[in-house]
Amino acid sequence: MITINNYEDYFLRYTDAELSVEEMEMVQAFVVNHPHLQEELDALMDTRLSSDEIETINVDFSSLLKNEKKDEVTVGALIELLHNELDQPSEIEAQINASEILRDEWTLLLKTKLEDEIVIFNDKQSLYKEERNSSPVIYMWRIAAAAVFVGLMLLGGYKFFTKDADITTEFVNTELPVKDTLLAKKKMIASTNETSDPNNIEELDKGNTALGETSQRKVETAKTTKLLVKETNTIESKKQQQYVKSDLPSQKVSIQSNNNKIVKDEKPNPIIASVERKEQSTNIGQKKMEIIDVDLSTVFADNATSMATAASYNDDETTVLYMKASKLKDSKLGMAFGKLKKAVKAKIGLNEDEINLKPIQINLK
Amino acid sequence: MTAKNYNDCVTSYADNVYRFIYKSLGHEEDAKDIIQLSFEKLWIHREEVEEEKAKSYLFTVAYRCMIDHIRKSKRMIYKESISEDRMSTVDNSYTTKRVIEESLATLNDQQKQLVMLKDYEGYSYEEIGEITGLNPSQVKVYLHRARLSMRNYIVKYENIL
Repeated sequence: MITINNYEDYFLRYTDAELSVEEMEMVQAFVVNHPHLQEELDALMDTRLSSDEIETINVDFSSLLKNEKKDEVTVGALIELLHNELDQPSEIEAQINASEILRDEWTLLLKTKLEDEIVIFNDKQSLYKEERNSSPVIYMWRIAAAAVFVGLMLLGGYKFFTKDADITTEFVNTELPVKDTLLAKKKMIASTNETSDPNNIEELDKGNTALGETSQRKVETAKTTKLLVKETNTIESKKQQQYVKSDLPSQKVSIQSNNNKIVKDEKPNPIIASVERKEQSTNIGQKKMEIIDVDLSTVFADNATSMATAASYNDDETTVLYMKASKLKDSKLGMAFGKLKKAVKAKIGLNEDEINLKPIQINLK
Repeated sequence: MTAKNYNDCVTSYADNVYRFIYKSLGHEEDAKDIIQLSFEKLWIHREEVEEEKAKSYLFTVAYRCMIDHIRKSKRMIYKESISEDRMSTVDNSYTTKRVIEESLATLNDQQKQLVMLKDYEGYSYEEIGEITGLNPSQVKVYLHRARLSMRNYIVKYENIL
């Protein structure tokens, strides 16, 4: 039942047409009995929209949905175009040109594409490789080089550890061969210059003028011989100074050390010869040779390899072939002197049969 | 493939593979390690790999090494990470390139790698599928989603400006 206390609820429901017919009649009778409430009911009724107004704001949703669907498909196609995955991109490109909306969308999608960025990997050298075992020849060369290296290492090690071993060589001691050799030289020179006195250089100088140029050579020989004697004495007094030099103008040079004493000292033993060319020339066998300077020297070497190396000096230098007495035994003499022979041959151009090499003996025929 | 072909691959592709891995991991030393591993594998298998497919092989190996690395270390450090402060601050030096980099960083690892393989290297869906172990349809779907995500990020950024 509508009363003064609950009429608002009835008025709202009346406005929304939510009351039954009986209730609506009851509300209308109530307003008649209470005319001051008629204005309030009319105000509520004015808030209602008419059906005409509803018609005017109707929207064509179907057309909107259709457009939305169409755009969605096109964006997918644009992405495909961006990914370069379309078989016929020209169709989409034509649509892009025809539609401003698509152009904007395409521009936006283009922004999502990553620009080419240069990133450098700086450690490429560590990645490069070389083909291994590519050539059997190179492979064999490497093996050969390794074998030579190992051999040299073994030889060096052997020499090192046998350095202090007792020496029982049957070859010469330190000074005697030098001495003997010098004496032999001296004798040879004396035999070729019978009139000259090797101990009196002053006399020779005086006679030099008288004898003229033809005797100049003899005087020089005598001077040399004198020098040999002095140096021999020096060697006898100082074993470590075993250097003797002689210019021998002879066509036949013989260096011999036939002493077979056993020596146990580790002092280097002069053996070998240094051969060099001088300006004066002479004939040795079929070869026209320069005057040969045979130099007994005390030069040290550890092994035959060093000797061979020494023998390979250039032509402007004296070729020195040498070996310590102890090393002489340790090494194989045959091989060592074979190398010596080859070195002499290479150096002064003699045939092998013109060189007679024996242990501690060099003969140049 | 000969040693020369291999060395040509180093010259031609080392930078590309390194860029892909480095930008995915954001860690220089890890990226270098993966490059070393990848090329070492190529060298070991050089007789089985055709020269034309060497680049794809390298990317495949590098990608798998990277995935293994990520799983082991659980370490993903991105040089460019987006912060809310940067989003709300208008900076004149805030270039379009940086916005794109940031949009890339919003993607998940897989989407990001797919986008890089597509944009940097120009691989097709099928090639990307071979590298990543996905089928081409998956690659297409993932790439479309990634592209729309980047697009939306850029729109959002432009709207803020």
